[in-house]
Amino acid sequence: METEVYEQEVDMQEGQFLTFMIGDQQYGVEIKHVTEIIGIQNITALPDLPPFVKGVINLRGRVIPVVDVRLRFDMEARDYDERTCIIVVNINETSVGLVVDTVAEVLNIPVESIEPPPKVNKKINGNRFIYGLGKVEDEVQILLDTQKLLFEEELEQLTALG
Amino acid sequence: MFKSWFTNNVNSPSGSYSTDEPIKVVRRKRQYKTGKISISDPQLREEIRFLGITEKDLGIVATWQDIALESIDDLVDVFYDHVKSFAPTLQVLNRHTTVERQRPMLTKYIKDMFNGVIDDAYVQNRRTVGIVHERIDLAGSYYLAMYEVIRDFFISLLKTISATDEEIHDFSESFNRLIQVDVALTIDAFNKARQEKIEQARIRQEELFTELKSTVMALVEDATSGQLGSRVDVSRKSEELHEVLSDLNKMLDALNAPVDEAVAVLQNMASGDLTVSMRGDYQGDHSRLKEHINTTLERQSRLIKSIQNAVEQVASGASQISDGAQSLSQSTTQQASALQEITASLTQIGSQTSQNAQNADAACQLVDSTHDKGQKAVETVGNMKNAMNDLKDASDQIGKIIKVIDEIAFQTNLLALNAAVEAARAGMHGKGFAVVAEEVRNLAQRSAKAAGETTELIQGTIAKVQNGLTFTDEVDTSFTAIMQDIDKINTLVQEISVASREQNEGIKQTNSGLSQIDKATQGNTAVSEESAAASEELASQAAELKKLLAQFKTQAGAVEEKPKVAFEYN
Amino acid sequence: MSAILDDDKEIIVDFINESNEALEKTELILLSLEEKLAGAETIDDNDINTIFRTFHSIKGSAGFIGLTRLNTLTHEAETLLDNIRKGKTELLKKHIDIFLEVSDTLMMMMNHLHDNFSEEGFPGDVENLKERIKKMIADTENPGETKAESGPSPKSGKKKKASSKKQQESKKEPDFDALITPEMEKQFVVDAQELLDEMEQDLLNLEKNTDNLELVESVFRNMHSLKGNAGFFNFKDINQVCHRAETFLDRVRNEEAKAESNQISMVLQVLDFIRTAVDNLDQGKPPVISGKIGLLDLMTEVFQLDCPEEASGEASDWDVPSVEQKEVPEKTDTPEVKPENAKKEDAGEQSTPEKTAAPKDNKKPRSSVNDVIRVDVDKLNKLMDLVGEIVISESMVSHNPELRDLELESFEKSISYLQKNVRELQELATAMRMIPLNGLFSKMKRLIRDLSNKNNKKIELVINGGETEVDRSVLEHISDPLVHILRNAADHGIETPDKRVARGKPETGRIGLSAKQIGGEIWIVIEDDGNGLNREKILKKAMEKGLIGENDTDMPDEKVWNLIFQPGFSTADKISDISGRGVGMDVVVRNVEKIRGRVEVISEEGKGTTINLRIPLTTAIVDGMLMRVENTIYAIPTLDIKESLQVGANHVVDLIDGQEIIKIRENLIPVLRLHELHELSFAPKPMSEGIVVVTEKGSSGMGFLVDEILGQQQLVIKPLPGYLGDIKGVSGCAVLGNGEICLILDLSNLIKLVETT
Repeated sequence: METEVYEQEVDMQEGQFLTFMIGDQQYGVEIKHVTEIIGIQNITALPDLPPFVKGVINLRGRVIPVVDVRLRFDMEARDYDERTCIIVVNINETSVGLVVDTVAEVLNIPVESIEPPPKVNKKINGNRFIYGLGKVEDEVQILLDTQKLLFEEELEQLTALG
Repeated sequence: MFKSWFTNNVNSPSGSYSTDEPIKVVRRKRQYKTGKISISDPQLREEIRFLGITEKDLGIVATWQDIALESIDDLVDVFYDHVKSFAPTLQVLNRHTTVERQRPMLTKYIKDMFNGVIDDAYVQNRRTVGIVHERIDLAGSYYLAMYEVIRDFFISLLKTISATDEEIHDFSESFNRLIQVDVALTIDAFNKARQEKIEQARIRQEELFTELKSTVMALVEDATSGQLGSRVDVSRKSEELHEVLSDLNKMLDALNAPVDEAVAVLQNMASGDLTVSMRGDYQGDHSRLKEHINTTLERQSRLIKSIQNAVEQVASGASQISDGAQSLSQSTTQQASALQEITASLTQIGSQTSQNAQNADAACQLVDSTHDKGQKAVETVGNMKNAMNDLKDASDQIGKIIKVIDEIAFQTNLLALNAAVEAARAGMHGKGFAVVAEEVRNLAQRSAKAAGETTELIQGTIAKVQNGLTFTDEVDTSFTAIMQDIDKINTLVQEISVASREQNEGIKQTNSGLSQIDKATQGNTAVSEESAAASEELASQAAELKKLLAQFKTQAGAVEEKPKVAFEYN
Repeated sequence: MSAILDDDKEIIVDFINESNEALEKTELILLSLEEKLAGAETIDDNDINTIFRTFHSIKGSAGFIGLTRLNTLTHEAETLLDNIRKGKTELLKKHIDIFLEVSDTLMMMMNHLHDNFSEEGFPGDVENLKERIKKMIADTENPGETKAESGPSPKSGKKKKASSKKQQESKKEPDFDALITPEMEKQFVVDAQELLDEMEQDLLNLEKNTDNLELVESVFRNMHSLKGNAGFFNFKDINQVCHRAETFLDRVRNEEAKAESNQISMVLQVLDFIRTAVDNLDQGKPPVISGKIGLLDLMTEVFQLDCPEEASGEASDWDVPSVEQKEVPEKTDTPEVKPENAKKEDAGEQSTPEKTAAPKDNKKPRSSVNDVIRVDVDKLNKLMDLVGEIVISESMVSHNPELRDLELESFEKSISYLQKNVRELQELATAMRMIPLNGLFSKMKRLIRDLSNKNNKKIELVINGGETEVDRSVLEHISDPLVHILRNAADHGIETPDKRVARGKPETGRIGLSAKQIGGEIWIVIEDDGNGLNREKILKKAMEKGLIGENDTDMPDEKVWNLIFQPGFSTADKISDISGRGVGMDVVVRNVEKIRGRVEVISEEGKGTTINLRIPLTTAIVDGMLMRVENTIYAIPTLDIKESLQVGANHVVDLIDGQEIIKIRENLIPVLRLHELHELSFAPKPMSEGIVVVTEKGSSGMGFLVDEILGQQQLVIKPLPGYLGDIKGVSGCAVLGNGEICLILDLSNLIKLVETT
């Protein structure tokens, strides 16, 4: 399904990924969803939210929610440092900041180098958000489905309510 | 409760009667069986008949055999309960056997009573019981009582099964007679066994007496002939006599011991050994003998010892005088030469002391100049410390700047990434821009790397500077300590200088005193040589006397007049 | 042009304003054309078309107002241009010269007109210019044809025909579709809606006073404008229907016929059809009128048009090139790419003068020429946003922590000057978005009229305070609630005439609709003298629906009345097609609460019902009191705060269910702990250690326990990101001067939390 959509879009953004690190693993999100990358900033915590939603930040006057990708993957939390970054993504007119350990680079991964996620290994963190595994030289990039990352499960309902 | 249920059960086969309601069943009188008496020994047969028992009695008793057998276990329990309830019987029981071991025997015994037959085996069995009772020393009166227990049990058993009074009466009569037979047989066996035992003991006593008599007679014979050392060989005699004969041997030993010892002591005395004495523990006359011999020995020993002591004292005194005279003469000579040496040494010391004083003065000057140099070193170290601190501050400052550069590199990296994102989003149009963004990113990463490396270097420098500072601090501390030491040395050297001069003065005075001593020493030497010759003569005569006296060995404790120690010096 | 009415003056002023704007642009285009011509560059057809439209539209308006000289001059210029754009004549330098001359002359005429309201006495030699243009046309290849059609007519009735033919001609032009941009269509929709609104109002007034020819005149003019606009875009259906209605109106205004009430109703109905078509267009669908043929027939019949030949003749005029024309509306509709181009407004300017040739706001005469410009709402919204940002950034500067301990005398002065300006700017920006309620209120007249007819009731709608201005967003949000409330009032509130008479009330029911500003709020009051609410009926219904329990029947009236706003609640005995389905009143509350307003109901059975919508003046900026709870900063609108105080332990009354109540001056006030509601802290804190902020919401107020009060500040309200979903009791957030984000409490929701517990 998904790949079909991607194939239909003849787009220069096709195959471009912004990669970032969580621990030692490199992950990638599609460039077309990325608005910008900013350093970590003061996050205003909000009540009544799932734990991976850290709160909101003030991005030049815009108030946008922030999701900690580590917590989203049910990984152990880590203190934020000066290398911690927020990747601002925009999907369905919704801007959300993703807190990652650090951003890596912009990569071009052709469609033929992307394999579907392995079905067997359920233990990979955030497996349910994987859209494919991209191979660049010897490294494997876990490519994330930004849509799922943001909107899966309960958040869908939340959004529906909002 | 259980008991009563049990007995009920016994007398009513259906078992459905309750204890509360005594049974009123009119029943037929039992058909009595016929017993039999078949004893092979006619005399015994007569005896039994004399006791009044008939074959009819045996039959009556046997009639109740089935009932008796049913409750025999119960009876045995009652029997032993009774045995245990009386201390003497309980004691006997516990000493020789257990209820469990006895139970089958007792059961058989009682069963036999209901067999309705008295035959040889029956008689033999009763007799065996009597013999056993004799062996375990169970008084007949006690087991008579036990028969009563058995009888009571059966009578009450019959009552509970509603035997007619007549039946009970018959049973009681017959059973009594059977018991009397049993008792007679048992007691007879008991008595016979006991008599046999007494007779055996009497024969043994006679044999022992004969043996004892012959043994003692032999011993007396030996003693009369002067063989006081003769003894009885106990192991070859009967066991019963061992104790008496051992005691006899011991008595002979006691009589003989003082004589032997006195002989040995006197023999030693004859050979001049006065150290021996009688040590045995004797009684009566023997004790007096020991006392006299020991006193004699002691007095003699003491006398010899006193002489020896006197001679010893003379000899040692002479030798002492001789030695003293000799050493006096010797030391006087030595003294004279020593005095000369001292005088020479003192002269040398005198010159060294003044050299010392001069050296001390020189040292003083040296220390002063060291102190000055040290002072300068301290100042230099202080300057060095400041310089180090400045270096550290500068390093810190550089570290901060590097951090800023690193931060800028990071921000630039972010910007470049953002630019890359924008370029990617711009598609074809952004391609050129993407290249630039990539370049910028590379630069940023290179700066970050360089900054990282620099940071490492700077941190190394900071660490080294810190090290240097620590060292400098240590040096500073050391220098301060040295300075203090130098001050101390200075003081000391000055003190030495003063002391040296005073010493020099003292030596001069000592020298003049020494020459006076020298003169006196010369006079002494002549006198001491004369007295040495006289004392040597005396010593040689004393030694002769000592040789003579040494032939006697004396007792250690005999000397009391003067402590030997006073003369041991030599 | 003898007696010049005030209304006419207005029209003329509007005409002058729009024409001047257009002419200025024309001049620029001409100059650029000249340059291109000199540089032998390609001429953009669009430029020619733009100029053409300008002249065409001035011509049309001038003809309508009766400015003959203007009309004829522009007609000649238009003819020449038409030839040029059709390729009959090559564009030459001399043409540009003469067009510039025309433009100059027109501007001078406009000035003259502004001073005199008449073209009489204009000193310029218009005739000479006209002749010169004519000569130029004659020089072109095919001058005859143009001339044949160029009979200028001062009479609007005939002019219609001419202009429509002219437009028809232009339709055939293959390039024409390219001329129509989505912006132009959008503009058409806006204009058409305005025109329809005005016509409706006039017609409603006309119903009461059928002799008022002024009203007829007004409706006629608007209808004519609408027809013209539709014709330009080749919206055939609208054009035809308008034409038919216009014919009728023309006869009435010429006193050839008298408007009967059924005829007026017919016109109103026609307006509804047109409105539907316009709405379709707005949604990107073709603006067709379904059942047009039947409607046209009906109109002919009702309007008793005795000249069907003319009408049908015209209609056939339209219908003949049907093959072509059928395609046209579709093409016009195809561009569904609106949003992409929505921000580019280059093409819009030209259409503006043309269509705004129609008078818009005849209630407020404008005295000067250049003091009104049209601004895109998007731009206004952006301005408002930007002002919000400026308010924030001003506060970021003035509250900058780095300045805190510095003695900066002149800086302080500058800052306070800045603050004053920012405040003024903000007020101004807010004012710019303010729109009078008149328009909205007027729409209600039609609603009530229809409802009273349908229900056979007599209802009079009395409007007051329509001039009160509210923020645009407020207007959008209260439109639906008003309709719902008024429907309810007309449907259930006002009784039938018989019943009213029986109750001793006047036969005609009265519904009052008024607006006024009270403090920081606008009160919109809807009162009727009808049935009033039936307490028992409401309680019964509420119990059936399970909204209340059996024990709640003694609740105060105020609460009972509020039950009608519960979703699905309706007490209507039968379901009418207007109301009674139970949908509606809950929309009222929801919409009003969206703009932080509230609804109050007062009712007395048999006497009537009053519903008061209390709405804050502006929704974008609020004066808020900042308070800290643990590390979170909350804000409550300052206007809602009654007092803040420290409460001693002896004033605290603990209720059984754990709700804390404090007693202040005999008032029992529930206190909400945000610590617990938002799980900020788990250690219960004695109330005396914090500060209780008492708000006015709720029957006796509601208190909040906070740790600290930080101060008062202007807050630009932002919605919380939708991604987060609803957060209990928080309606939005605001960015503070130091970049921190504070949460704005939703008092009306919070009070529910307290009252239900």
